[in-house]
Amino acid sequence: MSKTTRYSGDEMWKNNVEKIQNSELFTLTYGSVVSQLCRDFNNNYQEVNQQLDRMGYNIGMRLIEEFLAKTGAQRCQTFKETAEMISKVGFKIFLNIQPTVTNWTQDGKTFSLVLNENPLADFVELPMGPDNRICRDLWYSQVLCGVLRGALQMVQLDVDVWFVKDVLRGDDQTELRLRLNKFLKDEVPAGED
Amino acid sequence: MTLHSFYIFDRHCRCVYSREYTQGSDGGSTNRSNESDTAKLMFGMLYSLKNIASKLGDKEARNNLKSLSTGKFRLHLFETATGLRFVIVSDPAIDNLQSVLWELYSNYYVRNVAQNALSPVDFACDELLANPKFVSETDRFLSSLPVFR
Amino acid sequence: MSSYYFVIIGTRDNPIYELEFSSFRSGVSGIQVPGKSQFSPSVKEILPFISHSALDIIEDAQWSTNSFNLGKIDSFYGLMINAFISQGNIKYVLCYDANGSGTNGSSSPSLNKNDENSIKQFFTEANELYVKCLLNPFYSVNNAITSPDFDHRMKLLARKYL
Repeated sequence: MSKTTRYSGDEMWKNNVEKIQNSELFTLTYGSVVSQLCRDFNNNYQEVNQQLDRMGYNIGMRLIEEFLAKTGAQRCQTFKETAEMISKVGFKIFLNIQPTVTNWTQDGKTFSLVLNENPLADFVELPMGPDNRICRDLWYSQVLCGVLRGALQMVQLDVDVWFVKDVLRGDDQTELRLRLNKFLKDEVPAGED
Repeated sequence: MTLHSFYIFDRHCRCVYSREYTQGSDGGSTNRSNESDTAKLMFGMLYSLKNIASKLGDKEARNNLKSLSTGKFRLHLFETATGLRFVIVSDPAIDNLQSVLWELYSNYYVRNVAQNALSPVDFACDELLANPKFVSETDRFLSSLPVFR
Repeated sequence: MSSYYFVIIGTRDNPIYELEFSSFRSGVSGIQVPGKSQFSPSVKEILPFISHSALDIIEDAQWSTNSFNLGKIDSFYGLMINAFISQGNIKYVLCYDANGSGTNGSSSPSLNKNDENSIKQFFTEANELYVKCLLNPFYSVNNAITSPDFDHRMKLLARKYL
């Protein structure tokens, strides 16, 4: 990945990113959004996941511009390069974490991001109900899936992103999966072929 | 040495921002010629030329179209990875405006449009970029350049 | 060997967390389960009432001192009652039998300065745990605390200080 080493996420995090003074405020804000959604949708967690995904998508569409402006990155040539870019630069400059890229499928179109820490989920504990439905249905950090989907779609990558594991549910790690459906074609002006 | 006009085309190939600068005191016009033939033809030409340029070398070479000139004008083009195209029409004497276009994108566009949660980013077919702050800030930036007049 | 009853009381005088335990400090005689409280059944029944009746005293005592730890505020037939009040008007009440009544003849360390101090430490850290719990977006003020993690940490605190 010689190309991606040009963009050092570490350097950028140090010098180039406006940091919020108190990251608890950010974490708590996200927390209230999720818990409010749970109340608004009457604990219909599938619906909450969908809402978070949609919010994330709208964030991603904007965030990608900031990402490109900060890094000066060009479009990646391969999906492998994209994966490195997401982990080493994207997550690094926006959340100051560096998820591990792993579990590639044979065809090189699906991989996992393993989050060793998750700033969105600090302090969070899912309430234990009698049926434990929340642990089965809610993906607390679903907004990340939406962000990735939105951001990648803007650079013409049609992807599906979903969580497979979350430590909040008692899993051993937090893992999300990205699958590349196709490279989208740039739009053509009317009247051109 | 003059900058004549500044256009932004979105990834759907629509002109979402057009700004003409006139040398008089009226300050030119904003978003008057988005649907004009000039804008459409100019985009079509840049689009075709860009395709030709990218086919000249191999894919790795990134042979990007940066500018092209005619007898009286030079067109400067910068395309982002998200498919936004920033175009400035200037006097042919002005050689390179890539850094200016990059500044317009990375600073003014990102701050006033992408980071402005109430402004659209993926423009619908009847939406234009009409954010007053974006207009005034880019005007100030461009007019402060030595090449402006 | 003292037994303890600890309760956190919310802003509407509603109990939100209860814990009963005995001291881990003194030697445990063979037949006892370590940490299991030794209150007699009749005392056990009235513990919630005793702690609730302490609320009135807390209301008064909070204005007479600058510190959050209100110290020993009441006693009731050999039961001591210590209290702590937080900025957010959450009250922490600890009832304990200082002379080890109801235990099976094990040694009974009398209350001394050191115990006052460790109770204060215990309250302070319990308050910190509560604040952490409050940061969880799914918890709101005055809800009962059902988190097993919180419970576990409280027990560790009890073992550490009492």
